[in-house]
Amino acid sequence: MRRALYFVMPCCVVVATIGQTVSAPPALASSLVTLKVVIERVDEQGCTDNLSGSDFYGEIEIAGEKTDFGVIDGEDTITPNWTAQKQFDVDAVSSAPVIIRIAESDGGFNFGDDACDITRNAGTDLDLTVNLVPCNVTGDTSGPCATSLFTGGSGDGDGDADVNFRVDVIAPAAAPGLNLRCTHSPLWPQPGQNVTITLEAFDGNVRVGDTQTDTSSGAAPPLVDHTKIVDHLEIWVGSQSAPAIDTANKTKTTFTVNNVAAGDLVYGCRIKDDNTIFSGWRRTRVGPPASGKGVPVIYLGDRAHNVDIVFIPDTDSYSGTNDPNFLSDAADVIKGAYYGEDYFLKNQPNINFWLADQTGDADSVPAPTPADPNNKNCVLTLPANWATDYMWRDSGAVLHRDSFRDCANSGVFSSEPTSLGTVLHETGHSPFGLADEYCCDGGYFENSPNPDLWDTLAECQSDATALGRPTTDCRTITDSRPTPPKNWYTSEPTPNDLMNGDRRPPQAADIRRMDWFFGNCAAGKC
Amino acid sequence: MQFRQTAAVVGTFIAGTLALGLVAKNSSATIDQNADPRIAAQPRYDYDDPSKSFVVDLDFGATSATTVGATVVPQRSYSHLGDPPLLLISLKNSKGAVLTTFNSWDPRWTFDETPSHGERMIMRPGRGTVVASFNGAAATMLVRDQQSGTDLGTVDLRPAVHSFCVAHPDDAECVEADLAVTSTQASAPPLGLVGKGVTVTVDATVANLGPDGPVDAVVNQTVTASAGTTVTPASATNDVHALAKGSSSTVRNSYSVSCDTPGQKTVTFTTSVAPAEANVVDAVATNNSKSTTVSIDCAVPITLNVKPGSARNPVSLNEQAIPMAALTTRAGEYGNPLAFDAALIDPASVRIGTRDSVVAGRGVPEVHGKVHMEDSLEMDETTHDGDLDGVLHADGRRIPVQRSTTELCVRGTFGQTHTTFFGCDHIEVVP
Repeated sequence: MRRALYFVMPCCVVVATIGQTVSAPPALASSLVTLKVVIERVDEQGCTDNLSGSDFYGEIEIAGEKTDFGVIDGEDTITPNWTAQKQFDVDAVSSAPVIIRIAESDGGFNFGDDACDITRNAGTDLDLTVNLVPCNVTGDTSGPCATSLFTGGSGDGDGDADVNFRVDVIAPAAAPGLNLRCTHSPLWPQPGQNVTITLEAFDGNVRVGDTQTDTSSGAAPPLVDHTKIVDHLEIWVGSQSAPAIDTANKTKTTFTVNNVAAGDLVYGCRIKDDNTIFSGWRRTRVGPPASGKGVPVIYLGDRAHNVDIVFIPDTDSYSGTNDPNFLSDAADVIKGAYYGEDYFLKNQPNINFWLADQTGDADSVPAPTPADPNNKNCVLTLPANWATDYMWRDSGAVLHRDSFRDCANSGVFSSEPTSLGTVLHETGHSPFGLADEYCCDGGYFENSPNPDLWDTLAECQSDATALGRPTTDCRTITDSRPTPPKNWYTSEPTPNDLMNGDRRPPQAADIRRMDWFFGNCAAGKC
Repeated sequence: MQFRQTAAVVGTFIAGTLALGLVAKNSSATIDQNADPRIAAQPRYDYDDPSKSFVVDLDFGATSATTVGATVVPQRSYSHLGDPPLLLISLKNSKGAVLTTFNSWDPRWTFDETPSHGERMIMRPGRGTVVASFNGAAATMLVRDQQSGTDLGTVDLRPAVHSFCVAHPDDAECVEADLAVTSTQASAPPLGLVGKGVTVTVDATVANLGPDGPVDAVVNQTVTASAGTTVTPASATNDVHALAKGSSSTVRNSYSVSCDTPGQKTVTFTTSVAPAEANVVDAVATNNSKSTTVSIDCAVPITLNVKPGSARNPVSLNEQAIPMAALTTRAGEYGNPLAFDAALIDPASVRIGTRDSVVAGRGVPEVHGKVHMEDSLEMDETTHDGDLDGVLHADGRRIPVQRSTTELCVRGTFGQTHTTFFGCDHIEVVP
């Protein structure tokens, strides 16, 4: 016989919650944890009608969400394992209130239902506070999570019951690895503005397109949440003695520098967990650059030791360098591409980002050919001072909002802000010097040392072994443009590769080449 | 790591997720470096980086690259570290020796997005820029297409280097040296003969007055001469190596000056000095050149017959009136380039003596103070050719004729223009 709990208010709520468990999270969001409460055992200690055994029923309320459990008739001791759970975003809350209620159902001869006293304190309900991470229980009774806790009534004659229960906080599946993303907004602060620094913790499997929408291959693949709860998230601002903020047991934290002064904002982000990782100190220019023309918005070190990427505002899309849309788009490219792919994210201490002080122009212009009268060519017009003020750049990107087929030439490429995979692919070309790995009309060359493409099968096979691959992985790319056609060979997979159709992720040969490049940068040869 | 410790005791309920959570991460060496922000260095701007770059604009065709312009920019070049073997850029010094080479992207290589969001590479000739790290010794840049194996073009970098150093004389890779021509001197015989050359020797001293050194210098000499003379060579160049600050060096050049017409001639030699390398700036231009002029009296060569009638031409040591005939000749006669009429000789101008003394303007006058016109014997000592020759007499004691004397010469002027003539004949001194 199911009866409405005496302590339940609206019946519709009861109906909605009775017998339910918390549904699975919509995505494997790593900042989401599940708080689970289990009533393991109820033992009558006076909370009974003394006729035919106790008729217990119960309710668990987690952060206002109630779950009711039906009557178990005629047993003074029950082990119902009544379970309720609720999901929490630990980035939003640190603890949750839990109330356990037990009642004994009386029939018409027994003057109605009785609320069992299950707390030594005043009242009958067990009021708890559960700290989510790390998990522990305080309130009417205290104890650790993931173990059976005991509570009983106060013995003041209102009908006691003993209850064994347990509380668990269940972490989502955590992929291996640890990475961090340390960014600030606005990308180019001006004196007097407030600058928000954001630190996010990720697992080690972030792929371009997972954290920001990537339209480089047409339809954007779904986002994938790689955030990860870590012990400490620290944002350091200027001072090297202590972090400006230290947030525990979350996936993300922010710190805002109000009314930022002209000059440089220096900050860095650190995560302490199984491992400790640090983004590296970076310098962000506030206001005009101290020297030169380029605006250093994320500056990790001198240009001889770092890769330098310069973003150029397209004159058709932005009014200039300080156009908020340009700053937002450039920040998105940094976040979604360079800070959206695990390999580049790990190498963030080695990459500087700059803004060009003048606009460029990326356009699609008619270039009819006999074979295609409607042919259009992408034409890049670089800022007038590009050759003389930016010859130090390793790669340049003309960002634009209008849609056309992009192009790349001499270390400069055009891109829409959402073509994140393209950004990294072109970065693979320049500065890293990776060849294309798609067939059959790409840019092919054997670029020693550590090439991703070979001009003989024997070299590819030998290299495949060095990469831990079977020699049969070597595949042929035939470039049919020269006469006679020329064969090239790679052991890299297809199409899932930085330099292939899907543009992600960087594979072994790509990584080896880029590692070699960064190693040379570390030696000041960059 | 408290959270996962907590999660670990959840037990079998979450065993699967727990196992995932405890897998050791594949840590990155890069973000693990300098993991302590308390000791990690905060970045400093590199605006004091003294690096410079060559920035060269070229028009790339299918098989060539034409220089549009070259400049030196006081900022570092990107390293070309990852650039593929498409272009090979070689910087060479002024001697053609390769200083450095590196791979570079070919500006003609263009990656175009395809309609299906793929990519293709096409060659698109056009304007392109090649940048390179500055090298103060670089004189040229060779641009080679490694794919086709052809040289596309050579860029002269020297004007760019020099312009930069002129504008930035204090730059560490620019050298400032005041090169000067401190002296120049030409030595030439005062007398030349039409149809024959004389040798002129020019000594020029150049110095490095500082403030930097040593530097290599190039000394150039140019010649300007009066009409009717031919100077060979017309110019000369000397390399002066490692001219230290405060030191000097003398170069010597010889020229052959040929008289094409008779008369007084002048030849001016202008010496200039300049740095050999483009990165050396000589800010003081006023002392970079100096000239010297020599005068040469281009004389009409004549045929002189000492002791007409004798092939031996015996002359005694104390002979008081040694006879000799200045023969009147046609152009070409005896190989003389010009005709000579002895009747036009100015007697007062006549000087007789040894070659050196006569060339130097000394010698003795005709004993009688006049020219004796008569049909003298020709050089075969037997023939009278029917024209009047000028017979002269010299006092051998005043010359003086010595036992070592083997030749007597005569010099004088003739005609209304007082053109100099000059001729010699051998003698045999006898007791």
